[in-house]
Amino acid sequence: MKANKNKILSLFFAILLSWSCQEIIDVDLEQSKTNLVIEGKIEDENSLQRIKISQSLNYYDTGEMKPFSDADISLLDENDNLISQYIYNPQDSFYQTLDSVRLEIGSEYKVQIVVNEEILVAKGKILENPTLDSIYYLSEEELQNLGQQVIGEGYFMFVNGRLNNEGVEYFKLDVTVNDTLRSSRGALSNSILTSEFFGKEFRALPIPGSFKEKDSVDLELYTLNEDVYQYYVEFINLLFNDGGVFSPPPVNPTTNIENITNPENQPLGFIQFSSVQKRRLIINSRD
Amino acid sequence: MQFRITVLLFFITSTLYAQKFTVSGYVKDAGSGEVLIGATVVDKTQPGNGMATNIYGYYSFELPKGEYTLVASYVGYSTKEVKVDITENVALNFNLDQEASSLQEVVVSATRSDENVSSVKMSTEKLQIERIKSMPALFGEVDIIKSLQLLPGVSTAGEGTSGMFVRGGSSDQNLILLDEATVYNASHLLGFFSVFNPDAVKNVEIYKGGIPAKYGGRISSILDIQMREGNNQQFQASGGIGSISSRLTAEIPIVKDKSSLLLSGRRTYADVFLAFAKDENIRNNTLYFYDFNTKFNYRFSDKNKIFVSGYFGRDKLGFQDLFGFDWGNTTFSTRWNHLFSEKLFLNTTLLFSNFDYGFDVNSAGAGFNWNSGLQEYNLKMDFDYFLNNNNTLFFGANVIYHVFAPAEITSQESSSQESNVQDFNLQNDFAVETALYLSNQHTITDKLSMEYGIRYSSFAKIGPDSVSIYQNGQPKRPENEIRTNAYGNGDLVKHYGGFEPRVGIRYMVNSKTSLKASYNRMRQYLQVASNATAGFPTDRWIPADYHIKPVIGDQVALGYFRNLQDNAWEISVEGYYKWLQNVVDFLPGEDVLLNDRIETAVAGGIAWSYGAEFMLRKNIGKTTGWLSYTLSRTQRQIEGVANGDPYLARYDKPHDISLVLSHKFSERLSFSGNWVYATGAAVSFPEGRYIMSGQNIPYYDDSKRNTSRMPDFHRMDLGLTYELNSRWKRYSHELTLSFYNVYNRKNPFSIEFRQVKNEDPVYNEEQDGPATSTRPAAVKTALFGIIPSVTYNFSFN
Repeated sequence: MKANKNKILSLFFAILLSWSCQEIIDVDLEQSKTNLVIEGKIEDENSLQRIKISQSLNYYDTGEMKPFSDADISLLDENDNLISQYIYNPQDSFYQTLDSVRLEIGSEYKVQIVVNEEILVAKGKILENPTLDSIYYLSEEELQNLGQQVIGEGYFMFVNGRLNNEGVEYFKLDVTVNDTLRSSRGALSNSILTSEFFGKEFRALPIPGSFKEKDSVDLELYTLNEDVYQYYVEFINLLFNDGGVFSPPPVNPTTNIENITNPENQPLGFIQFSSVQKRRLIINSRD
Repeated sequence: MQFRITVLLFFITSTLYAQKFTVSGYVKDAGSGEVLIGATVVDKTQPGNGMATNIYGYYSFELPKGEYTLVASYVGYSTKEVKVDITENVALNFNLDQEASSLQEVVVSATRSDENVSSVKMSTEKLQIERIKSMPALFGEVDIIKSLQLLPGVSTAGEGTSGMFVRGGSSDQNLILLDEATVYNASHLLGFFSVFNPDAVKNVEIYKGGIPAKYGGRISSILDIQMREGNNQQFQASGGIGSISSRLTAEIPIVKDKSSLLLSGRRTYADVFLAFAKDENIRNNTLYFYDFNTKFNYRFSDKNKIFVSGYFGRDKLGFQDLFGFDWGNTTFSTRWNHLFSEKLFLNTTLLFSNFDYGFDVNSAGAGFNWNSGLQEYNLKMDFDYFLNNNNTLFFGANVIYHVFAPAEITSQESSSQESNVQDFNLQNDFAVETALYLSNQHTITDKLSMEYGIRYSSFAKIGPDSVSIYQNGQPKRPENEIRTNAYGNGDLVKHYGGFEPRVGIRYMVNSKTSLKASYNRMRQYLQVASNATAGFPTDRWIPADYHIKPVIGDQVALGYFRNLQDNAWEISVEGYYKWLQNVVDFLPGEDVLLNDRIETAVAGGIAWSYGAEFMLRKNIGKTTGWLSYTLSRTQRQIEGVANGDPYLARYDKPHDISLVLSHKFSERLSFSGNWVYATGAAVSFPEGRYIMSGQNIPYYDDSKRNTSRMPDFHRMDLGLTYELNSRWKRYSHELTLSFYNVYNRKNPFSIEFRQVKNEDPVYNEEQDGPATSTRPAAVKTALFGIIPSVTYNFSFN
């Protein structure tokens, strides 16, 4: 729902931009101090838990962000008991737990990061994933025979199932096709989901995007806490913000990581606490 | 005894000498019967004795017993003189003939030639509709609001948009009236065209300051648009065929001299051009608007007249059968003019305004309809009392019932299956707004006049309603809610009200120079909940309520006005200072559209703006027009935004210049041109970037807002109009060729900070091959280059 204004504007400006023009221009920008950029995922799967810490760039700098390797990171339970320390892996510039860690659904966890003598904390709860009864696909022709218009060509996937938690739930659905994650900003926008306007049971709920015959499709469905969902919403709004009169003033998304030592110095980024379920389908021709 | 007789005779003589009688009546167009607003009727030998007609074409003033030559005049019309012997109250109507087209009579303003100096009014502009029609326009579409944007103190959000920002006020702070009915969203196609069909409009007046007590409800301006009544003498039709729309107007006399009907319609065919787009996705789109105006009037007698008018307009945007979005306004006005006597005039109006939008998503398994709207029911009574030649009283009252229906979402089944979307409603809101006012136009001496008044306005938010109460001293966040108060139908939830003083003073330095000053306080009980600058059809109007207070605005203005060469030239300089309390802005990242606790998404603060407006205008001659320059500053200070420090509003534009010219080469050929310049909008640019979830994203310093500038904006438009030959006397037609953005400047509509591949901002992998380079860049989007257009206009009578 919240993305509808973006979709309306995108449609209108797609029409308008067929008359207009775009060009690269030089704009002098102020340079800010570097900021810490933290991105992490804490999952219920029995696996190494990973967090990346980097430093932001000046806007026009090309290349990748410089990793920050001097952080002290701990994974704690809701009673502040240490579950695992993280170590820095210079091979891929990620911090990871010493061993695989399995987290409990329904439990709260905390990540504590000490950087430059400042303590940063993120908390989250691992929520139960929905129950997916079935995932199936229909071709464009089959859908049209059912009286349903579609955008795009090929095959379209749908899912039946039910939600398992009280209240409104939030999710991220990553779609990997032939080992390539769909990562355009449009795909990211379509991957952030909310049950706010849906019931607890769902049937034939569409999965964003279309697929071709013989595609190998991997779906990863992550539960999200509300603060991380809100981060993604603000992040996507910023991603689509063109600085024009129909866009709100650009602001950084609200992080769920709190600098409790120096609240004026909040980092960029977020740490996501999720349960995950994965499914794979191969799209085969009906023939 | 002799002394007593002398005294008695003195008093009798004095009484006879002092006895005054009222001269009153209407001034109309002889050809169509349309009343003329602002026409003057004066004593020829003493032009200071007289009056201008009100918006119903009615005048009234007093003269002592005697013989007079009364002169009625209105720009564009022949002056009429009538000799009259005043021995009792006289009802005298004037029917003025339009002057034959003359090289001397191309005029800019619809008021008397020295009105800008002699009137108490300041910060007010009245544009003649013929002037608006002659201006070159985007796609050749004459646009009333875009014409107003050429006036000093009125600026725009961006190229092509129809929002107005008047003396630093936001676009929701303008009260836009069509035949007294409120128009909530005055634009088609997201602001590229306004909803007002110029063929249906008679009078356009904007108050930027010095707002009379009769008006209220918005802080920054009042745009009062009157529709034509229709020709009550003979059938008349007119219209035009343009590059993207066509229009047709018919004026039908129902009973000659008494009654007429006006019908006026317009439709764009922009969607026809979509069929030629290369992109298949664009070809299958729907994009059009239409609007329709109608007005009926009947004059029962010289004392009673009724008007019934309506507007209906709709915009539609859609993509195949998958997505549809439509929005529009409906207004309806019924008015009754009644003359109690030659001095007391009453206008009673019953009004209805509706704005609504809806969109349909027809997606397998996730289809839904979304509808939203708001309505206003308004009853007004406005009295004009011509007490004497030095005092005219205006007083009245109105009551408005507001209904806000912010969102109703309903599941939409497709032919194959049910939708998973559940029905959802945001709570409707209800309110009653009332006002009383009294003001006096007072001529104190030959040099000093004032208009002063008081308005009292009141706003009651009523139930049904459900109000969240928060812990004292804590931010209004859901986690701080302690209880919910429930209110039944009609229960009072919250009341606001207060006085709104209005004062205007004019001092005549000499017959060609005056100094003016004004002060007004305004209260605004409704505002738009949006964190974007330009209006959007889905913008949500929210009433003042338990948590959100009404905005209060005060403005002072000082002005110097001078006319030269027999009023052929006007010079004015006006300075203003405006300050606002209880302004709200939306906290970063907050949702406004589906939030039933708006108080958790906003923060309050103050705003202020100040500036100086310079105007040089030539009204008469073959070449007419104006040059205006506005120097201004607009700032806000909102808790929670930019660290609570003052910041510039996006639409702050320190320098704003407009040059508007027209020239008549001959009876048939005329030229018009505009040149506009404005400082670029105040915006926020990034100060860094980072990568998150595989996306490159700009970083902004949230302690600052709007500290950078877009490039300056300037543009020239030119137009030529040629009146074609016609074999029929009753049929006239002309061609207008116009060029929008003649020197093809690529003014930035937006600057987006994103990754660019292969140095091509519109890189497409399928068409352009694999990417060989990627870098962060600033990409400017310019909407319009040079756009030629041709419009064919015709009229038949």
